[in-house]
Amino acid sequence: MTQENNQNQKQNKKIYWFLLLTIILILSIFLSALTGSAGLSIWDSFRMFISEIPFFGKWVTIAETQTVYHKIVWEIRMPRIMMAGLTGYGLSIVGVAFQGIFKNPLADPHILGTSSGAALGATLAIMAGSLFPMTGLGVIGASAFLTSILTVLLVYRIACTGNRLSSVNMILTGTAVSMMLSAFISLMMSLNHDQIEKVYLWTLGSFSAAGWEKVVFLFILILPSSLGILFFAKELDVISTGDETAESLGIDTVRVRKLIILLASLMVAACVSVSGIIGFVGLVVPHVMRMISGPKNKILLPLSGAGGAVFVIVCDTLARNLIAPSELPVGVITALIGAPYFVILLQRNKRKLGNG
Amino acid sequence: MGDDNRTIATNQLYWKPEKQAPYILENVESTFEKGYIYGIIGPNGSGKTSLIRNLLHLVEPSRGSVELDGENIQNVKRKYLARKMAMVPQHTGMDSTFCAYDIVMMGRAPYQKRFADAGVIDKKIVKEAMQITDCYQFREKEVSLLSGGEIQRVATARAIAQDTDWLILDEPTASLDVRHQVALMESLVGLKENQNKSVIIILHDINIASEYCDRIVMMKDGTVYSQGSTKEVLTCENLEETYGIAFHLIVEPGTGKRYFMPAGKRGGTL
Repeated sequence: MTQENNQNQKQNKKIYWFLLLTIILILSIFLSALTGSAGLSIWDSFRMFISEIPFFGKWVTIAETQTVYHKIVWEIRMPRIMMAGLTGYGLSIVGVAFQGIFKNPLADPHILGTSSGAALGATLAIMAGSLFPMTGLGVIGASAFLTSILTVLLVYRIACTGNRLSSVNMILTGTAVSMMLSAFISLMMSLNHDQIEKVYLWTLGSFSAAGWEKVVFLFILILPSSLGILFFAKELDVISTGDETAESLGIDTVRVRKLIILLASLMVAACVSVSGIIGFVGLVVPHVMRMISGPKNKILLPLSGAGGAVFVIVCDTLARNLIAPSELPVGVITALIGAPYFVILLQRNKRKLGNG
Repeated sequence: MGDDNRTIATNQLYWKPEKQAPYILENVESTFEKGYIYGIIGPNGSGKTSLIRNLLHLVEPSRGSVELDGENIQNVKRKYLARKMAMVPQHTGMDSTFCAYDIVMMGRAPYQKRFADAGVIDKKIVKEAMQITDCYQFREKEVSLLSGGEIQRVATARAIAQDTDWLILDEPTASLDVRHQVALMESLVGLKENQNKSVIIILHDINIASEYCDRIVMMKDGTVYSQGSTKEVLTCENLEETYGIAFHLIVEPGTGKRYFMPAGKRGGTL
């Protein structure tokens, strides 16, 4: 009996963590929306928010500049925050899934070449844009999305020799293809000097070109895919203890791997095509969350999603405020904050890091 | 439920890991009947592990077939197989942060609904399984912190928790101390007698096999060299032929228990 109580207590503790993270997430969205370089005071932004809430809105009188404020908060800041949150959520969940199916603690969302593929597409679009002026930002995103999906398919085709799906093969092929594509991008950059800065900034990742249509695009691709991955939480648990064991427990490991790679690639392609390559999130957040939640994917996946969203929102808020009115690339902040924090955690919990 | 002719059988089974490779298993004809403990013995590389991987449908046969209760296992759903046969792998490879209890609970996966938490029955079965293999006391320990023998007992408990007709174990005694070797074998005998389970177990220790197995399948060079009752198959002649070294048979007066002593090259067969 005591053991059951223990088990229940542990479960409860994890639910508290989840609630806490959700509160932090809402707070960070709110605070992030209130801060910015537009010369809008925090108090004004706050009143702006309240005025949007039905019923409460009656109690707040807003100055005449209302429409400008409204535009800043709802059409510039909020979509940007949502994009950051969804990207962090998606990349972290993919990180957990990849670390699980590849049984490799170093697996991150970019490991199958998705991101290099996207970078190639973006580079091609940027270069083409310099020739044909009518190509805009949407074209870069669409091109990145397409090449990123094509890259995963290519990696999958190469790695899938025989009907077995070897993790090591996938990771090595992904890395090799990534390197080849990166070299190709470098080649194109050195042949088109005037576009170097644009390509370089794209690869660093940024949410500055946010808009609600991009948020909707991310939402449509990321949310269903992440629920799809969550659907396989139990299978992921068992697969992490060995393929043959999982199969003897009735799990079709090849099918589960294929589906998870498919869903995860859609998510990564979506994230990367709208916001560039944002590193470190998908690698670190799952490990940090695993220290809190333990290895059970049913808990780890949603917790990592929430943690990733908070992390990227906070990083992006810093990115656009630290040297306001200009801004830093968010990828720089995620690595600058994430890496030292990760190292500290590693030191404290040497034993806790595993691939389970 | 009532029929007693449940069997696992291989029909002219051939298997190789890839197209260009030579056959690892050649023309394996074997039958495992319900209600016995089968010991598979044979030298390294004789195909013991390959045979049980075929029995469990972890690999596809190159030719021939494996049948469970008369049905080709290639036509049977994996989830159904998981309720009929449980495996204890040779290399558990468990470097996981799951605790021992969670690992054993995974044995209930073939019965659980998606997202459903463990039910009362699951918990009861898991606890009993862990008590049988003497690992309930470290149920909350992370498996990556356990010793090889402890992990082996956790893996065996998981297979027992899977509650199948058949338990298939790949050299489970290799990393166990003598006390736990004997305890494991006796618990397998207990499972056979009390819960009507059948066991297929790869063993290297001929004397353990001689003591606890009802039947022996002796393998050599990828095929079955001899199979039948333990007394028939385990003879100095057969052992010398398969292992290539001499053996002495010692019969304990009174009990009639048979012990085999490897005599090394002095027998002159090498």
